[in-house]
Amino acid sequence: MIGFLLPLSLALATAPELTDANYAATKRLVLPSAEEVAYREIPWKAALWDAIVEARDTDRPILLWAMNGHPLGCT
Amino acid sequence: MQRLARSFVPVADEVGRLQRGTDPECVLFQAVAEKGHYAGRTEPTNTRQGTYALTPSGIFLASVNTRSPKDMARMLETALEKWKTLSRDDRLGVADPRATTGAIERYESLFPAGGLALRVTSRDLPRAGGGEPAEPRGHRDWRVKAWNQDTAWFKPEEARELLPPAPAKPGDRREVPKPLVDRIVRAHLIDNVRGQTTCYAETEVVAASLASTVEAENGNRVFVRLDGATRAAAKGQWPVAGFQDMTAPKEHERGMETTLLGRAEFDVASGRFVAFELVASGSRWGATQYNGREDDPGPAPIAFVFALDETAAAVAPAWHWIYGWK
Repeated sequence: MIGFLLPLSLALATAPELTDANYAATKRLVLPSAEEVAYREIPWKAALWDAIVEARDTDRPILLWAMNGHPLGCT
Repeated sequence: MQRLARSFVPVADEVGRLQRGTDPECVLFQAVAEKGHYAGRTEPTNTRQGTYALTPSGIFLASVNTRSPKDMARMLETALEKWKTLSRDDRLGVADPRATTGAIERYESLFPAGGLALRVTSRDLPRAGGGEPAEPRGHRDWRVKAWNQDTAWFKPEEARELLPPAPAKPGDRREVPKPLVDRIVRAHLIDNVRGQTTCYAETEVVAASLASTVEAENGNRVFVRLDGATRAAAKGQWPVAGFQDMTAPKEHERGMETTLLGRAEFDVASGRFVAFELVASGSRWGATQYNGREDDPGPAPIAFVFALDETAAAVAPAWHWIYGWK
């Protein structure tokens, strides 16, 4: 019984083998939806100093989103 | 809130460097942060994560660390009210910040001209038969739908190693040099879906192969198919539950096993990829301190997509220091 269940559990634990046939579907499952990346519609600068330069040029305050991990990268 | 936000210059940046660095950009942030919501904090960590409003001259206006749109809006309103009380010289400063730009030390400055920048997206794949873990903390929604992103960089000479040498003809096949594939395994095929995680050590790469085969070429464009397989495994003592076990970590194992498949298009004249896509799909197991897997150690299916994205050059990979670039 255990011998039957072990391969089955392994089959459930990993993704189906990646092939040309399921490549596009796998990619679609991973890539974010438009809603998930709506924050990218904001014209974020990626470095504080660049924002300081523009803010001084345009006489505007800065809104800084600071996270452990760059918010536009891995957090 | 969006109306309020339009009054600001929006910027996103990595707080760890800002709060530890010594260049002018970091020093300015540190002064602002010590007026903010986490000023003086050292326990449980000294993070200064959050959203800050400040003047270009470095005057603190307001800050908050919240996911609440109402609280964020309130912070922005507070910031704008304070902004209006400042004189032009006070809020803009006297010195032109461009004069100091050369003193700013960012890893992003190491991205080479002509380099290859990829965006890496990671997400859990559906589990056959369901099997989503119960979530007693009430965070089930975001954990089930969680995804993360990173960037992966390649120097121009490294990018050329992702396809057979010129002149390439259909059928030509090249094994991508193992050090390059090892870096992909160590820094990018990591379970960060629910939060940051650690990279793998060199000795923890069990298998790493990636090959590039020319499918077609038309004189100026070379079309390649990428395929490969990877496995990384680690064993040791580390925390897996945030702050809860960080002082008494137990023995754990973790790992990642994937198959790789993708396609890319290389422009010979410019010496650059004009299309690049690589999917890695397989299984992950184990947990690390902040990756949200303490009650979901797997094994379970996961996948990654590496895709060409010029904006990825503006943000360094999370594990850029293992690249060894100077």
